[in-house]
Amino acid sequence: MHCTTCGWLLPAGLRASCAACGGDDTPLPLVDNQRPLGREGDDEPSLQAARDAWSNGEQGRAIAAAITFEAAPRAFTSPHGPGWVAAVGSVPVFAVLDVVGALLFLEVPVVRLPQTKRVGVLRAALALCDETLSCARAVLRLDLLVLRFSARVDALSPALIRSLAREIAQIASKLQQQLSYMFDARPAIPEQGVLSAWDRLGRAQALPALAPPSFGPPVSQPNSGRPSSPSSSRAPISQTPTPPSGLNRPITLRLSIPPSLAAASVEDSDLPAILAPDQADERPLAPTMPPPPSRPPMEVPPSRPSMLPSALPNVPALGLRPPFPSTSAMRAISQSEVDAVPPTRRPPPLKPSQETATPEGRLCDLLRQALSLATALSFQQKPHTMLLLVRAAVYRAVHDHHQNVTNAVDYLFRATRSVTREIWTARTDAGRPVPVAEPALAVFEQVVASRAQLPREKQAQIEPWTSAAQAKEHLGKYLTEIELAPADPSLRYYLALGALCELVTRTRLPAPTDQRLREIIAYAQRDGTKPVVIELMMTALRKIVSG
Amino acid sequence: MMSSPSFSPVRRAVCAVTAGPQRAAAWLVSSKGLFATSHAAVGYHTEVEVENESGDSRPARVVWVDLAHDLAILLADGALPRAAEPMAPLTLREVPSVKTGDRVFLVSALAGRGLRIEPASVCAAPKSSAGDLMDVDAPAVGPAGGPVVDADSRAVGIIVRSSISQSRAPSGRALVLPAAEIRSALRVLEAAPDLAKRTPVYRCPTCVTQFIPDHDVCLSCGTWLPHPFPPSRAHPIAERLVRDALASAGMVANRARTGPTTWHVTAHPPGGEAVPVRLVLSGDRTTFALRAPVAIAPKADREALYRLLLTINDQSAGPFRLSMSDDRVIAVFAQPIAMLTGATFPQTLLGIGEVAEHFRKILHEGFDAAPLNTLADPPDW
Repeated sequence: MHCTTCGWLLPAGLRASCAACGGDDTPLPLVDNQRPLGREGDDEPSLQAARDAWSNGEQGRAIAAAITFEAAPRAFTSPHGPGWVAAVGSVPVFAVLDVVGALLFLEVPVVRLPQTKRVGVLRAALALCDETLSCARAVLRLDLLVLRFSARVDALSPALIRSLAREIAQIASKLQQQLSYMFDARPAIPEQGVLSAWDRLGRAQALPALAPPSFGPPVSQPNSGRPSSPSSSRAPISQTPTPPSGLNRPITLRLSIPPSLAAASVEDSDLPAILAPDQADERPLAPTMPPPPSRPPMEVPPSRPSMLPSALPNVPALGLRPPFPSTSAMRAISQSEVDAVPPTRRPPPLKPSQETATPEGRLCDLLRQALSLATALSFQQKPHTMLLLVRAAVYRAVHDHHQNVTNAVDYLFRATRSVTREIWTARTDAGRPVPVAEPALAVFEQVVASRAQLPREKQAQIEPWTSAAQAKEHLGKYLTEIELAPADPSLRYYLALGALCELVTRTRLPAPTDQRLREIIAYAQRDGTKPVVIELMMTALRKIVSG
Repeated sequence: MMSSPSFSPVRRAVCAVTAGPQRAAAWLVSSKGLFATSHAAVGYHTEVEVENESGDSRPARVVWVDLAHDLAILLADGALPRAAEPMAPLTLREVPSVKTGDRVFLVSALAGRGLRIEPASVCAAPKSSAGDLMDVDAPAVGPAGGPVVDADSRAVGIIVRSSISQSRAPSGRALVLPAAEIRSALRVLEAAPDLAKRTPVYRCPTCVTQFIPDHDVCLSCGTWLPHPFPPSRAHPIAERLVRDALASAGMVANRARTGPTTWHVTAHPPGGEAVPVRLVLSGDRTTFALRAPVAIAPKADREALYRLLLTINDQSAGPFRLSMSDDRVIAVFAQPIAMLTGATFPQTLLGIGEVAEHFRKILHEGFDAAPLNTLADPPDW
């Protein structure tokens, strides 16, 4: 027996104490450390702003800060979401945050294929793909060789993003030098420089027929043929490399947005008109400025009013946020925080009424929409849909306005509780008496009449959904009733958005799923009642229900 | 002039061993189906294949190991590999003991390549102390585990090569464990009633405390355990990340390790065949890559193939990519080492298996590319 303090031999007998130090054989309270994992470079002081933004769920801002090297990156808006061009030395690194797929892309154009030694270039590019040291892959877009890296945002960190941006720039620079000297390839980087327009990345070509079914893009992209000039090149295609099914996704509620929908939204954005380099929204981004939200650039011709960010003030900040009640921490992106487009190129500004410029006004506007839809519904004898409309309005109010108009939303929730306690559907509750929605609609009118200025109200106690099965059951009813509702896009949009708001409000979802749902909500609020938006939300709901 | 020995007894006893990605030689030492081999050569694999010179292959299991002497004993599961002449154990020569200057022959075997026999002279005979090694003047060619025989085809020892013995081996020369050590092991094993049920017990060479292959150091005495490829102490984060990632997929890093920066794992895509995958760390341990074999590029249509692969890489391969290494098309997944987590590794492994299998079919249909089933180099001396 030895002393556990100093290791010296203990004399025989119980409770013997050590002759050397006075200790005994009582085991020391040793505990194993948790996994000692630190991401290298995460303590870099210059990344403090990026880390702060990252921890607040403001991934766009964090990315912009992370790829700030000598100068702040220039911001642009891509079909996928906000993007930046960062200059790493003389190499432009294009970063795009795909808000729908929750992916980050880093891309650098390298060279144009030469005529004589093109096979050598292709072979060298494939050999680069074989190198373990390189996280970036070489891809070919007609004659343009591009280095590309993609990863799920939630697997990254600001330090990693910075490191990856440096790495891809370094590899691109070396590769360009190698291919230029050895194979007479025309460099793509000097041709474009750090002032490059983002659409110079060439047109990606999806191969849906050849892609593995688990993550291949199902939408067939029209072959663009060969670009006549750089300026005629179109945007990179938005088919994102979605990881294999289940990858990075805790299985509680599964939600996968079909790439086809993402692609459709891109096409619907009608981007070509704004892709010309001379019109691209590219300007230095102040380090403290948030990234531009995922929305079409503001150079949209006035003839397309649907492209204007009508719901922009209501778009919540993108990124991870905890569900209700911490939803109150959400804040809207003010217009000043959005891309400061030069005044000379800015479209005629929206002129919201004074009322809709305030949080109370926006809540009233939301309720007015519900009342308007209820009026139309009242002529069609759809009591179940009417109840669902009330429900959607209440949970949209909770999701969007609880932080700023707390009392009104708490009152709204409490006063309509009798009709939002459960979901009645015409299919399953046909012979069952259902409550009438009129009292709830009267509450709506009361809130609107008071301009949402209500006395202090007890905080609403929202009952959470505690299991995936429960959430699926409720959403299944929601979905059923939406499908039975009149085919009015405004109504379906309102209901579907209400369903998603209720889901993120009442559940604690895995972070990626939660983030994706919030991005869909933001996207829907931004783009309004477009068919593709409605279809995106409905598909998301169906996926969750069929989970 | 020395007469040329007939090596018939050697041919009837020596086999090549395949233990996962590792290769070894082994030889029959007992009529009970026991083979002697090098522990370092088979690593911590317990299920192996033995293949004779005729190419007949049979399963076998490791039933006993002595890490201190780099010795492992295999037991054939059922019948022995068949050949024109039935297998027979080599005779162990313990006396007269080998002397310095004696002529011996080093025997090795490689699956698909047969036997290799090299003459050598004993440079340093073993001392009287047990476990002392014999030094010969020939380099170790081929995998360890083969016998060293005299001119009468009697085994005087076994070629061992481990982290322990290598540190003492002068410039790559083969080191030989005397046959007496094998005899000691056989005495125990041949008398064991439950031989077929035995599993190897790994004991620390320093303090003989039992350990499991997951451990890098002995939990009792704290010394580093004799793994064929010990973890790099200069890169503890990378080592830990790999260990945890493999553990999340039900694998033991020390068992799967095939080199200082490589591990051999297997993906099992649903409904498909098992796909061997190699996990590789970059030299500076900043990135990791999973590599799975896809196809062998055809001789013709290379430009079209290259264009297709690079176009697939853009939008149609998900987080994976296709690359070329020599004439091989390989599916690769490479990321910074900090992104290697146990939460995603099993799905990533599954994904690369699916991708490899998928594009194997695609390239076969479109380019008549032959499927590539392994990344291991063909066996060669």
